[in-house]
Amino acid sequence: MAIKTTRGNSILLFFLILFTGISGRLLAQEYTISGTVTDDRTGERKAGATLMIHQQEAEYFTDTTGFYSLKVSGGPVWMSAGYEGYITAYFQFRIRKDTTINIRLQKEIFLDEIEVTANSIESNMARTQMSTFAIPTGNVLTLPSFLGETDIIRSTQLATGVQSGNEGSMGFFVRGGSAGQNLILMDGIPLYTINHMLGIYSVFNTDAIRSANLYKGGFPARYGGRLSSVLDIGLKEGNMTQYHGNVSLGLIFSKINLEGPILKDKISFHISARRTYADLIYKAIQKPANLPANNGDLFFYDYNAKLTVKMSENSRLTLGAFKGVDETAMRLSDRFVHKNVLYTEINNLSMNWNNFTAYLKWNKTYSNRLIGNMMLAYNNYLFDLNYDYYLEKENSGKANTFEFAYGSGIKDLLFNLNYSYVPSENHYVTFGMNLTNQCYNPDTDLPESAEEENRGGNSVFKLEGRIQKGYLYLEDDIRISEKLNTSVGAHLSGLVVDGRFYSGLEPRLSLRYLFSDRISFKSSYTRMNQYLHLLSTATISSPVDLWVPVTKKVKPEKSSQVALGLTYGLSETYEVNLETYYKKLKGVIAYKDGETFTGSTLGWEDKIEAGEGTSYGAELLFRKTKGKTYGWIGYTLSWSNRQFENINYGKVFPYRYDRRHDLNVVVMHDFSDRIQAGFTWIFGTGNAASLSAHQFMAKSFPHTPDDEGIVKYFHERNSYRMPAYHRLDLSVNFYKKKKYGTRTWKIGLYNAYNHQNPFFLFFGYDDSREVASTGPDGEVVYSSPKVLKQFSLLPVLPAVSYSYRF
Amino acid sequence: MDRKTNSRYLWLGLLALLAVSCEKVLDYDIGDYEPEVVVNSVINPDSLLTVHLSQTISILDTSEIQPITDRQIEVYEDDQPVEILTHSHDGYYLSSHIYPEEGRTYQLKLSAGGGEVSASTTVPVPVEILGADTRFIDDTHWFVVKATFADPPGEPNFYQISLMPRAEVYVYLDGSHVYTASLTRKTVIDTKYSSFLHSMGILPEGSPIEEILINKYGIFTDQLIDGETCTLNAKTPYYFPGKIEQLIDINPDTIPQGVTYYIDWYMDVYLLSLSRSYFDYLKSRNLHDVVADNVFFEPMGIISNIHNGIGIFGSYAGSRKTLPIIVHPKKPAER
Repeated sequence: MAIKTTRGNSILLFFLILFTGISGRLLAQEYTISGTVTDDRTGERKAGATLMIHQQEAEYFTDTTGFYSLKVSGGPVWMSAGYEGYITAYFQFRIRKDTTINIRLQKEIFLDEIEVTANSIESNMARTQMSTFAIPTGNVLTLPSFLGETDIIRSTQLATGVQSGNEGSMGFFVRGGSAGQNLILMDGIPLYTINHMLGIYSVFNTDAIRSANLYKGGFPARYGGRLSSVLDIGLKEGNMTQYHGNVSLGLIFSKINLEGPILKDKISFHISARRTYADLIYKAIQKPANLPANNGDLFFYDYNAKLTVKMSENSRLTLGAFKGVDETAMRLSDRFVHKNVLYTEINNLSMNWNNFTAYLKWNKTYSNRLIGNMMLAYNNYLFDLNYDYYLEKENSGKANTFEFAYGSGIKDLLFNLNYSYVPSENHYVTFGMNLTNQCYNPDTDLPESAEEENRGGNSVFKLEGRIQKGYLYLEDDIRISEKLNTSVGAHLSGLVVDGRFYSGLEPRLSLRYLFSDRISFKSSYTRMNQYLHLLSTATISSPVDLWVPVTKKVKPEKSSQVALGLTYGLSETYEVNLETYYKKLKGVIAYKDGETFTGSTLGWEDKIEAGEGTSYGAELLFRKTKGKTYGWIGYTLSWSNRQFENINYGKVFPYRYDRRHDLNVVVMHDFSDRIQAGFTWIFGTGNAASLSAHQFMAKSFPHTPDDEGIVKYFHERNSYRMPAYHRLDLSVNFYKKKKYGTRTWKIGLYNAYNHQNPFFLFFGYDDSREVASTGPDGEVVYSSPKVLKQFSLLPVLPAVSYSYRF
Repeated sequence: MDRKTNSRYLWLGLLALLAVSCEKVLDYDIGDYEPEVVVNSVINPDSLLTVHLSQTISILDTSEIQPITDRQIEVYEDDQPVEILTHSHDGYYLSSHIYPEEGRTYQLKLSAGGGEVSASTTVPVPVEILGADTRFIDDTHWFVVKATFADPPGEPNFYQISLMPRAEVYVYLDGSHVYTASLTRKTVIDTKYSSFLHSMGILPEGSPIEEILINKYGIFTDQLIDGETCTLNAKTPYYFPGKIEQLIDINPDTIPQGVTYYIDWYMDVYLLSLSRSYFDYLKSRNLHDVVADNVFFEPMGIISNIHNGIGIFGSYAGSRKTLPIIVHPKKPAER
């Protein structure tokens, strides 16, 4: 009896595959890719080089002769090859027969901040995906970018369409979105904070990173939950055949990285760890604990650990963990005499962050046409702030004390299924699901004080509670013709909170047309929903930024984005890419005028209001990908605005990180095998800021403690532009082969020409001048003029570090 | 060290740990600007209507702000013209007879720069204090005051609690009462040594109250207690800056023979009902002052209800309970 294919049958089959992993008899032709991995210059074969088949999330290694052989399903293949100290090479192609690919890797070319992307021009032309920035991050990222450490987030900030926040911070802002609208995934697990040491470093240890991709638009259907970007960072697995490692000594911290087989070709491990010694430095230079002493503490450590078990040729089990701990403390103390009595006053502030994630992932190749992975993960983010105040009157035996503790946190328990299915050579289907149980744990402590009346504790937000959310997605990358590719998908998300159900259907559509083998046109449309809000009071990323969930009153944020792009390959070496975008944001939240993060035991939702935003712009990228000298020039022209009914009198105002012009120049040069150098130059329009232009007199009224005074008059929010930001960073690396490995000295110069970039502005007095004016009695009086001042944070900073790889 | 100072020091201190910093002067062009009229007027049923006029100046201007002395202010009560105010002194314009009435709407109009500056306010109806109590906090100069009131249901209400220590000084010569001085300390709720959430000095008892960071004005809304009977638990220091004797010019060491004096102490508890515009003004003024020196916070602009100008034309009406603290049971004159 013939089976009649119906829509219902198709859906049933879809879910059977989705939930049971049963592939059925859908086997496709399997092809073999084999070849060697060699040094581009010396031809030396590289044993233990890594081959990644990205659509299968499968990892392979060359044998001791540098040879590899692996099997993939017919159709599109996204493959990369990497080796310690070499630039990771990426390839994208369709396979229709057994193929030999001999890969020649270039030695790493160093830049103080980023490894050049090695995406071939051909692959960029061919991919349907647009608005991406691939940051291949092998262990080549060894030169310091800032105080001795290259950082993946600082590298991300060099992409077009991405603005950095304030100097020295890890925040990044993509196409006019906020920092809270970036989905940052570490091995598929969302992170809620990425800062170490108040934002000087990120939590990502470059030694542990296998791949990093930033999506600014045209989001694949597998991603959701944030409006503006996805930064998907994959962590390395251990080498199955050889032991490798490296040790690095920097100015602020040191790190160690080890990997190798536990059972050859069966079980491997990979461990990376960092620890700062800033705390030890502080302890050495601080005064003893005797008063008066003003001191502080900055401390962090983190580690990534991964155990990989090769269960069979088609099955791999991974157990991974990440932990990051930050402790920041500040102690201000004073002694003073008031009316002949000695007082001792102490302020203690400490802020602690703690990130812990653990996961179990199972990758399975069911057939040549179907592969999948299943992941169960636990993620715990905690932040707490403790403040205590102590005022003691000498010999009184009494002290006035006040304590305040505040905390917030999120715990996720999530389950993911992801599958890739190749029904024919013209289709590449991905589908999957996620279920997340999210627990908000404010961990607020109501402090006990010496006096009942001094008890300070009111929780700001009652965030305790659970949220259940999840999504389904389905996407098909369709090859319509040799020239035309399209990707059609949908991401269906939903959430239950306090008995209220929110859901959203998010269509994803991308299209690529090849005008010729040199010119491709791309376009995309995406819609995104976000069920978490990052509520910020401060004008910089700060500890009081709070993740708050949607509630019955506070609805999800939504965005729609359209992007158009043109890629022109001038040659095999040069490429020009132009993209334009328009993004509409809805439901973005902010405090109402006059409200702040403290102050209510209930009803925080009434302190905020939802508004809208628009951002649009154009991004131009010129790249040189080969040769001794390579790099890119990226220019972004953009606008980003916000509008709220009760903020800025209801009028549209520029977003704080609205940046009209943004220019990044990245140049690297390989002088020899032993010396490499590079520089980056960054220019950006100044941030928008709210400055008062005028002032007026506020009189004293009955029942108020004020005397009459002068208050500032703000006409428009963010109507002033800070001075432009620009900075040159330089770096040189020196390599030397040693008996057991390679040692590297890295020398860098941050802000090489010592430009004073604005960190914040304030009104003060110019004490270098005096101006005459007429006093109240007609006399001439002299005083320093009032002026606008700029505070700059980071001057020229040299850095040096030493590392040894084996 | 108050919270504001703490905040500034802590932020800047943490940053100072990170790197050497530096400052430089920037050019700041505020462009062409016509000064705007500034109105300062908060009316209540117990006082004659008074308005103060001045004008805005550049943020870089360090000179004295000059009052406006050459205008006429039209005053309307429930849309009916009732008086035209002329300048009295130092920018003040005083009514000759208008004591604002509860429930009535008052409007001001004056001309400025070819346009019209206007504002209006409706005087709220006061809410009675049903009961009040007070006690010392042992070994401190702090007082805790409890005040109970019933919030009228339905409409939004905006409140201010005000605690005013008062000293009554009775002076006698040869047993005859010759002089009485009354001193009221203006400070309402001192927040000097309280900080962060507690800084406002008002804690809700039973029902939550809308609180504001560093609530120096002691203002709150009925958003979360609409229609409920609520007890406020407020705290204030009870002291005067200096000895009472000095304030009334008495030297205890040189008191003439036959002169005696007694001091009675009271706490006046006020519950003021504010107009919405006055509440918004105080709330924004409060936050303006809190974040004024903290460069990491979005600066707060004053919320004004002055059309074509800036400032406040608001109103309040209140009820009062007087709590005796130390009252001498019998005074010579009463014997």
